Amino acid sequence: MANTQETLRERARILLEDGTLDYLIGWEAGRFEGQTTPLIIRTVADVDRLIYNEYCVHLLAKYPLADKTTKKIGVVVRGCDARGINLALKDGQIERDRLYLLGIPCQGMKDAQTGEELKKCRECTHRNPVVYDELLGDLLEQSAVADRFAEVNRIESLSADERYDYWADVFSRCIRCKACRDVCPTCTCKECFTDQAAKGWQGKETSLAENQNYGITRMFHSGERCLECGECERVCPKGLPLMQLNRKVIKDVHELFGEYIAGIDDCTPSPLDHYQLDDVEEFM
Amino acid sequence: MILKKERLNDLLEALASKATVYVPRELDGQTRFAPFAKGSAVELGKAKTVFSPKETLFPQTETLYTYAQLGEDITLCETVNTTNQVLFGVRSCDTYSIERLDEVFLTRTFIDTLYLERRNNTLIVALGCTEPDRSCFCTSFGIDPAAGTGADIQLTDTGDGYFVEALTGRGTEALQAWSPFLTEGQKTAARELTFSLALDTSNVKDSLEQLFEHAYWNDLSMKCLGCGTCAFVCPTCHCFDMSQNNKGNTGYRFRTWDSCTFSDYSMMAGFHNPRPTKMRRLRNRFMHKLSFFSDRYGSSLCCGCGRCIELCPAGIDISRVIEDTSSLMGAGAEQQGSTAVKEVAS
Repeated sequence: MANTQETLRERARILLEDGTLDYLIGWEAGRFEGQTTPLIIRTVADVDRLIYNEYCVHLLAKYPLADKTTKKIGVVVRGCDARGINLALKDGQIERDRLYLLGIPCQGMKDAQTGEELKKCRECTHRNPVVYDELLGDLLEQSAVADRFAEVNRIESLSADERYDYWADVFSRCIRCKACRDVCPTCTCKECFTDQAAKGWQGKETSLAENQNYGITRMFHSGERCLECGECERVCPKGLPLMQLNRKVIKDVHELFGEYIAGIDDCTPSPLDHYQLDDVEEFM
Repeated sequence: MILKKERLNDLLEALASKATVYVPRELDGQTRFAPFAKGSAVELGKAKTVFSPKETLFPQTETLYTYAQLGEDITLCETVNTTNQVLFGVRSCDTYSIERLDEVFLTRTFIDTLYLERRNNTLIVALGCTEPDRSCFCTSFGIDPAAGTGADIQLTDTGDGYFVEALTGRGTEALQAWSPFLTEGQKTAARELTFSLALDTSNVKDSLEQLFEHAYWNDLSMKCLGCGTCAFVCPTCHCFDMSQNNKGNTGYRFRTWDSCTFSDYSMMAGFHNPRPTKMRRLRNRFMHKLSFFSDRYGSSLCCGCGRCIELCPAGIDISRVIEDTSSLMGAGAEQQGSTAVKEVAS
């Protein structure tokens, strides 16, 4: 990884110097050992602040979307970041020619406090970037991942009352900080339904009903577009198992419409954004 | 007087028969102040709890009044808080924070009766810190981790017990009920604490004021997600929004925590937003913590507990903001004085 970091700095220096990029989005070290934080590099003088190590836990894919200028943005992309970029391209959130993607095959990131690989990385199905302009390092063989629907299967086997109690317990703990929404690469609405106070879709009260409304509506809204990047779970200050909900939707979509991998490219229509005459319509 | 650690649970049990006793407990893998339950572990040994005791005085959602309309008649019923509570094992960062909440809710023209009632019904038992976390920096704001200002009773760890002293009249009175559990004993010398994080905050207010228009805020706010994690884990953040839940002819009006980092926080009628960008919102957060509050009340609204540092999803670190702005000032950056990078709306 030290080599990747060196190559990254070297390329960043050249790309900024020759004017290919206006700025680059990567990571820098935080105050504590193993702590990192996203970083914007605008000048060659700052290039040595860039790091790449096993603690670069933040997804970068969403950051360029806020910039509505014509600036050329460099982004360091691993599997998850690259899929997020594809999703944004497919959704028309940014133009491909405004991005310059430095791909890095990812070995998986670690929790700095425990030293263990992050849950989201253990469940990752795409460690290699699926889109990039240049690749730093060699593509990795995708390692086998544990059955990522195991938790969903376990919950599905519970009775309806048990399932209700389980999710009631989860959502009773939600503090509605909205970090899961704000970090989510599928959440790109200019104005979120939860913020449309005058329309009243989402009450401001923290109560079980309102918290459930928040979490479940969000789950359906992200739907099959979820990249399984696991950022919602990583950022949740209460440690809620939000990916179990997202995976339930993904599993259902797979069963109803066949396997679909969000963000694998920037053009394949997703099962829920179009219809076919032979679609399942058991509810009609 | 000394409270032997082996008598701690007996004391808490006795107190819990008369009041709701909030103690640091580990629930769902995280420490926070929760009602004492017989037989459950009390986490007094650890440094700060992941979540502060703020919600015991200023709940995230609190009903202000209920209303009902029947024909021509409207009845209003205001909430009255009458439950006695004890906050047990509160660290100095959090007692300092409660003093700041007191200033906001109980001084300067408006007295918040809901807060006042809770505050009057609350006995605060502070516990001196024995082991600061990596992100603790209360001493940088002049807070003494061994002495919880504003508390009623101070506990000091003596090894196998806690030295107990009353700090207020209310504390002295409360200690009468503690006497069966106390033994004679002397206070041991306060343990020397090592803080790995120590900052010079003497000029932070000036620095922030002079760097108000600096480009620093653009790149810092770029990585901010605009969520409310920092505000919700902060022991001093006290902004709230009021709303109502109306069902036919009845309903209730309530308030909930709000965060200045939310995009709808400063939204006004007619959809004018005086802080329309993430940069302005995040800058406001730091300005309020480290400058504006001091203008009004003369003290820092950051207590150095470091909770936001630990939990910010984007790794934004208020201690680094303090350092960064200080070094920018040192480099004469205030002379540059402009947001060199164009703000992006988000």
